[in-house]
Amino acid sequence: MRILVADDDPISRRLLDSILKRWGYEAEMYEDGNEAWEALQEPDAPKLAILDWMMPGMMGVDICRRLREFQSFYVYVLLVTTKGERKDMVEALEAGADDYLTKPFDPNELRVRVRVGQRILELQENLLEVQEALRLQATHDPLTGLWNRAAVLEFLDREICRSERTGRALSLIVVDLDHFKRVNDTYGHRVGDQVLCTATKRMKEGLRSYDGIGRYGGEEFLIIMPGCDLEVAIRRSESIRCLLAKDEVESGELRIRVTASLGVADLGEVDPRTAEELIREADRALYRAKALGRNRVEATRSLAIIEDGEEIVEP
Amino acid sequence: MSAVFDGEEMMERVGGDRELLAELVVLLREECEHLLPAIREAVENDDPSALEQAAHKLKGSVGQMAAGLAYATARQLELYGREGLVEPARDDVARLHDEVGVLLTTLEAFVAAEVPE
Repeated sequence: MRILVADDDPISRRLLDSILKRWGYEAEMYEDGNEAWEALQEPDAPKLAILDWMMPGMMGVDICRRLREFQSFYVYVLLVTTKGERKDMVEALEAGADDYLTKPFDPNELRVRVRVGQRILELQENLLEVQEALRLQATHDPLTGLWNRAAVLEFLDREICRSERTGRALSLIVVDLDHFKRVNDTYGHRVGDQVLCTATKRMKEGLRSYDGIGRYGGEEFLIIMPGCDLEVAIRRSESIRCLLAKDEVESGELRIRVTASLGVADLGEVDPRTAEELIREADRALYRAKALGRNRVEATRSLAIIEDGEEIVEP
Repeated sequence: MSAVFDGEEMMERVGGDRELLAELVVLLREECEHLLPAIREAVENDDPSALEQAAHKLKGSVGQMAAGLAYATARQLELYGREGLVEPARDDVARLHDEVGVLLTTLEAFVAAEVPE
């Protein structure tokens, strides 16, 4: 564990450096309050700091106050000083110090206080990990790792607001795997899950980093494409359809053909411009794709795209 | 802490590392070489704030070296400075010089002494 030490007294610095290293810590030494404050701003700054109360530049107690006011991550602060009066201790703790130690310090006392700091930081790290795991759990589909329904709808709402504000295009694609129920019924849910995961991987290959994708229902997915109008979204849907259908999904000895139908809607084409309406329109297009034989892309309105004289979507 | 220097306490503080102690003694001498004149100058210039700062720093240094007498005198000088009293500090400045002189000699002798097997 790394510990930042700031003390203008070279004897205290040398002593602390030696003691902390002996206990297995990595000590970073500073002799000036301003330098210490700058070092604590770095994203990979030590999370435990031993600060002298009185130093040139910023004093330890002022660093404490600033840390508590501005710092986004928690730094455990141990204030060390030759002061020893009760009011100083109160001031130090009120300024945001976590603990307080007087100089000349007793190495054993210092050791246990540093251990307390380390324990608290470890607890905090565990809490942050749990918090992150819970956040992921609450927003992601456990099977595919994609956003779940609530999270992808939240993203869609955000992107609609952004699109309204900036005037940029926004398209939505609803993807539905063809005959997925048959896969589950024929080969079982384990194989069905594998098909969903492979389909997810293939769809992601066709996305840009700022596109959004989430699992909307069993075998239904939403893809949100900021900046894409209907024409571009149809092209990109077509390439996603090809990615999905290009190879069979392998599961042990089995080779399963997977195709999908895709419905595309552009925010500019719907009224009112809401997530509900956009999804409704994309769903209508999806039903048309299903009705017209599956494994195809349909859009809110028929659009002829002519490329090099070749029509790639029927008007 | 009322002795010139408490060897047992100091050895505990450095974890029995005599090389580290020797290093600290060198650092202490360097610190004293500029802090003692700074304290004297503060008194001569009738500058209690400078007296408080320099005495505070010296107090920290000698305190870490388990030097009871010099620590107490430096602390007294710091208090005089904080209270704006420079005149009564004159005697203590002279005493601090003597105590630090004896402390450094004692420490250097302690470091140089053969370690009993």
